Amino acid sequence: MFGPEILLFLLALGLSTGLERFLGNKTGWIALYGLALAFGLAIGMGFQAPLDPVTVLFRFLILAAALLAVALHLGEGGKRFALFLWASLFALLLCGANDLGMLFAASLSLGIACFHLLRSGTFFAFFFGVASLLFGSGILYGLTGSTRLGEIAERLGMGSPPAILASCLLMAGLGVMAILPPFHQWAADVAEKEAFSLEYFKLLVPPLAAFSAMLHLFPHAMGQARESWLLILVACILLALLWASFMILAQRSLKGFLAFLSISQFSFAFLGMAALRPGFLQGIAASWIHLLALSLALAGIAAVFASLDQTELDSCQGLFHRSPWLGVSLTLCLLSLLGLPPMLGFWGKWFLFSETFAGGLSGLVLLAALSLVLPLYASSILVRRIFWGKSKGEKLEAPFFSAIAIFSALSSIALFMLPSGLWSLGIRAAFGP
Amino acid sequence: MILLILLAGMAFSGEFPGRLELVGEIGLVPSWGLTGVNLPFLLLTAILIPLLLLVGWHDSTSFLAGLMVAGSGLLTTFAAQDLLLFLFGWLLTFLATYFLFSGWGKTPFSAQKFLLVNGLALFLLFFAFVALFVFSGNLDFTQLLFVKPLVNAPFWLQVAVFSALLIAFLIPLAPFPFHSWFLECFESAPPALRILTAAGFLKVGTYGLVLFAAGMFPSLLRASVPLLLFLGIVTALGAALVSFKQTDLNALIATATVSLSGMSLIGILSGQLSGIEGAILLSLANGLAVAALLALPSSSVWLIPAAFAFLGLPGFLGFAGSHLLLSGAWIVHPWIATTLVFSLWLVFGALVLYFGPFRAKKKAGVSETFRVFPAVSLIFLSLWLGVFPNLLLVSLNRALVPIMPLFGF
Repeated sequence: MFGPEILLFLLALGLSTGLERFLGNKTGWIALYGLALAFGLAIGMGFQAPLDPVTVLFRFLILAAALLAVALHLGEGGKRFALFLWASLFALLLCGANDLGMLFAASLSLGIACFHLLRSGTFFAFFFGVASLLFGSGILYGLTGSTRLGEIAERLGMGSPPAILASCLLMAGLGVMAILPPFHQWAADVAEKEAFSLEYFKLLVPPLAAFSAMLHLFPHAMGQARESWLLILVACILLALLWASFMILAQRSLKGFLAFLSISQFSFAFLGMAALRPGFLQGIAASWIHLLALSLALAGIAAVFASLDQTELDSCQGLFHRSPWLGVSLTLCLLSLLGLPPMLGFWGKWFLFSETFAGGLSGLVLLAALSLVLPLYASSILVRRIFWGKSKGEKLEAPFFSAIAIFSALSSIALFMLPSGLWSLGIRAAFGP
Repeated sequence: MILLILLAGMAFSGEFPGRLELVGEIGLVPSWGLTGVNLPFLLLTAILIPLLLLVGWHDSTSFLAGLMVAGSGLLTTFAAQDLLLFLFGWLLTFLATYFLFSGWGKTPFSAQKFLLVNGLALFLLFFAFVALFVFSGNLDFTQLLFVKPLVNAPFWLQVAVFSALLIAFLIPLAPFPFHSWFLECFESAPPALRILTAAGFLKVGTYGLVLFAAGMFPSLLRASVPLLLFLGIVTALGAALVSFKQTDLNALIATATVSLSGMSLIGILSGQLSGIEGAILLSLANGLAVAALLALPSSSVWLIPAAFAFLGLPGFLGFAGSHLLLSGAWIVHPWIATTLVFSLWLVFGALVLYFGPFRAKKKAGVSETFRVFPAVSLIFLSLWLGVFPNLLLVSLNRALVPIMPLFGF
């Protein structure tokens, strides 16, 4: 049942205890193969007990994102592969946590692994998050007398002041890792000297794990006290839609642009969570499709940005003339992020908006649709630079990054043709096999 | 040519509906077909595409490819019989047109303005279409028209969806106060792109208003008619007055087209069969005439009949369109029709003043002369359809008569 986790644990342990020195340059490839094997195992195992289907669904995503991050890191000639594996392992544990103790332990471990991996901006944020989680869990335990999420779901009554306080603390705790504004600052604090692979990893893997944990905690365990957390979640989504979308326009660096695109678009997934209510779980499928599209699109964008070997957004000038494949792939990935066809992102937005409408949050959909105009404008400026800007260099030869960017763009187009299959998979996970 | 032949075949043999079962499992089934309402728009687009290629013949391959993609997007938009395909088609047109403006427009600002304004329209349309799908459970135009999907939704949501649809289609139609993007883009664009914008892109507004905003929300439309009529009159009259100031034929065509957009808006809002048919015919006539005017070399004698076609003088399709539109507007209120006649007269005056006495101009170069034949064909087509408007009116009647009660006027 825990095949991928055990595999990652053994591999990470091996790499951390001296195997890395022995393997030399091959460490990265070993990590990549290990993650690919874990991903294959996760797919092969499918929806099997005792893991709940939502965990299985998000485990695919986390492993895919980690795999792409390691592939990017390999292209950048980076190190710290063992830390990638540790962080991925803890992300998987957080993703499937069904106990408050496990939630806390996995968050703390993920925080420590990310701090060592990213080395900047994460320490205070993560430990603030973990502390909030601890206090929130304490209150929830006090209210229900159990740490198991299933039992909490049975014992927790309607919203009460302590439940609201617990919701605030838990939302802040997991919101930090899920880069949900206003708890997203660590993600926006970009380190220009670090590799794009690390940026991609931090913007996707911990948030995906935290999102899955939130799905287990709020709509499931705290389903009876929905009104105590829904308002906080909606307020955070509103902030994300308005503020994060505006901030994209102000970005001048590649990493800042990537970070705010990710923050603003990741917050759309919470629309699906807000729409969840007893008996109506389609929002999980919608969020999952959106996050799959986001993972692919961000990987493509990060690969193109990494190939430029620059920090400024201006370095995209004339990219199409330096490398047509990279230019076109970047444009397609941006289209996917904006939710425009023929990219998978379109279905993500379509299903999310449909489910949010059905959940009675029509105003939020209108605002979300309008907020997309700002990223569209910011992306159009970038696309202008790519196609019509004056080229600032010679032909760009980056076969490794080109391959990742093209793979991301093509996968997004291919998956756009299969919305029924993805939707069925999501629904199967949401309602159980 | 293949497109035209296909279209002619489809028109003579009735309906050619199609369905794509790719995403059928989740209730999203794109379908397309030929109805009386979309026939004039499809005809116009099918004629435009080869003309655009001829006009832009000496531009780069990327430019021609962009024109073809935009043309294909327009064809998809007009052929679509469901929300999803309509959205895809319109998006394709929007992205390709932005690509063309940003690459071949004279000022980057106009391209960005196009993107910002029409991007807003795009996401409003996205919002409205999702709402229609969620509340009705299907995407088909015909069914949506009769089901009136939002009738049980909260009132504020009905207003929000109606406003979103209205604004999303008023933006491409370009009446006041949504006209500035069109004037700026038109000024900065090369000839082929001008034709695409004025004769193709703008018509999506007319088509969309007839199809969605008018039929699906009759009570809300009735409530907003005074405001929209005011906008239509201000546009028709204001743009006609502004066209007097123009010293450049392109700017004159742009302002006169905005004036005619105002007239089309009034025709649709009249809620009368003749008014709506007039608005559709006027859109087609305007598209043909604008394409002819812009494709012709500046020294060509054919500019005069093209201008006549543009003004809708008797014999041309524009006359049939204006006549029907004015008779519809007359039923709503005689002074509205009188104002429209006055605005038409002003546009006529502006064009006469522009052409004025004979001015010797440079002879057309070889690169321009081969545009004359297709442009002249458009003038004759306008004349032919003007003499025999029933060729279009029969199918328009057949499509519009059953849905006229839905307008609720």
